Amino acid sequence: MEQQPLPGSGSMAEVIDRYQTTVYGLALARLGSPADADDVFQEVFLAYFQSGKTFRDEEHRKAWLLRTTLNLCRRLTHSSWRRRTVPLEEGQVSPLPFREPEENRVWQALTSLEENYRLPLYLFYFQELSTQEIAHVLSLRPGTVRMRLSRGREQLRALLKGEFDHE
Amino acid sequence: MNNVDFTAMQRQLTPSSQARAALEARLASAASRRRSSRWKYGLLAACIALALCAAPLVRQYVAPQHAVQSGTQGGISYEEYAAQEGTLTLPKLNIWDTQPPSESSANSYAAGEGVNRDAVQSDLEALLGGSVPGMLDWEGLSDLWGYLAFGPPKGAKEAVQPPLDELFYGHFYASCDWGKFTLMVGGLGTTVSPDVIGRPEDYPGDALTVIDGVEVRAARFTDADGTSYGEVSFTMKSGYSVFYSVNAPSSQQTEELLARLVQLAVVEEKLDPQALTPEGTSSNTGDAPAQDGALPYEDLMAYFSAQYGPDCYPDWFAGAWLDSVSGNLVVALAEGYDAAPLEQEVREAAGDAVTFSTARYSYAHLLSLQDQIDRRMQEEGTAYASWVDVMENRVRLELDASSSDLLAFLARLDPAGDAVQVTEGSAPTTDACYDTLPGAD
Repeated sequence: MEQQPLPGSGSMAEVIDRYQTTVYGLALARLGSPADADDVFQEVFLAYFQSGKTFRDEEHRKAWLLRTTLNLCRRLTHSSWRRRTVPLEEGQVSPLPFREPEENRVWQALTSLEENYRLPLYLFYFQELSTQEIAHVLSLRPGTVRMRLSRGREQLRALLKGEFDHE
Repeated sequence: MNNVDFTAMQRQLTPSSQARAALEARLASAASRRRSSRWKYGLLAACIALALCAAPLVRQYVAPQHAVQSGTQGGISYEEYAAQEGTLTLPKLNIWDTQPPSESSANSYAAGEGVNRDAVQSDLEALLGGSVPGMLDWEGLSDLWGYLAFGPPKGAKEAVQPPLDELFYGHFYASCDWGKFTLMVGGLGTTVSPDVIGRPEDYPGDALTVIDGVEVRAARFTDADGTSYGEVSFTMKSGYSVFYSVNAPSSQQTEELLARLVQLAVVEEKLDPQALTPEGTSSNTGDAPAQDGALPYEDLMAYFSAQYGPDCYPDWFAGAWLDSVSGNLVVALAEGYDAAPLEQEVREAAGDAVTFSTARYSYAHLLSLQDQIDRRMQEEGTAYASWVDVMENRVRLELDASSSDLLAFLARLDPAGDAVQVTEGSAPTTDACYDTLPGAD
């Protein structure tokens, strides 16, 4: 996923086009619900727009978006409104987001893991972040990230019954 | 799985068209509001700029600062924690019968393209910053033998040479007057695989807690041949990960340590205690009290989760822990609530073997404080550790060094000064080890 610098600070549409899968994917991995991920996707880019923040480079911008996504996910899951309501989709099976059956199987296995393992694995494989970057995004020490990646891989491998050899 | 293209999968993770359209509409609306009231924002910006210019002076002369303790005086040490928990002497770690690691076991795992050399005792002491050896009663160490390996992990995709301290792996075999053990130390960015100690994939569970600023993970599992293992791992403030392999439950000291870690882990991490209990040995491991209270604790947490949502707690709940003497669950109720109906509610959820205490701050409030501190600490760029100390009813923050801005922030966050305890200068240093690295400039 090679990235080219955005012209200037980047128009809003360009920023959304470039990072919508980044934000939405992390929100979906964190929350599991496409509707909630859609909500977080909107809130993140609204916050981005309203913050007027300038970034040193694309890595800085991406890191800010990832951190904001997690913060807003946390706010959503901790909101008193959410605690007192039952989403319509609860109990229903969310449509799987991928075209290939194998991709959906990998995603299902990933999303069945505990969050402690799911998010580092998602950021490592899907977002291609380094352990240092994951540590920054998740506010963990790099050693902890490596530990969770290692154990998450083990669990994923078990869930996929030996088919997961990607390193 | 080898041909799964994660990049292609990532590209498919797009929000719905409705969400995109709604976002664009909201952005357009926000932009319109912004244009129509631009002068207001100009005025606001001028005020903010003025305030920012004055802020350092105000902070220096006016803003209250949160109290901070010296790491050598404040805080709670592991030894103190053990004493508080009812154990006067810290259990020694991990007496077990093993063989020294082979050179290839270190080389083949971590550093095929790096530099390897023999380890000496000073390497380990330097790497651990003098913290762990003292904590684990390191007295009497008579021999240490092992390998240090530096360089990119074998099979690393990129040939770029990162800093040396990101690519360190050590495999140590040590003996002392009370036993022998093996430990592994991994540097920043280096995976110390549990595979090295023969860990099977289907270990039943593990847990993480923090003791004296050190993250501690305890796990128990059974190998395919029926052999029981325990694992204790630490992630030091220095960033190094330390794995101790704890062998079959023949050593009472090993079991004492595991039991203590399990007890802590159960309280902090809602762990299934049965998963960590050595089969058939619980009667002589001294961890029975922890097991007695652990199940009510789990019941209470399950009740909260069902009633209030995952990781959500009622405002009247101020924390829970296991009493080390009775083994009973202790539940703290926040001040200002009618205790009788709440105690009844807790008993209905967790059984009758519960005792109660009161505390000033709710657990949810302390978690919120910790969350705000964690976010702030990301900006500070200093090593730190934070956790909620339920027994003390406060957030504990340990860090290398504090700034006046940070202390002012903490003072605003904790105006009464009793919800956050700040300890400064307690992180171990690893500087000494760099002098011993071969090839280091």
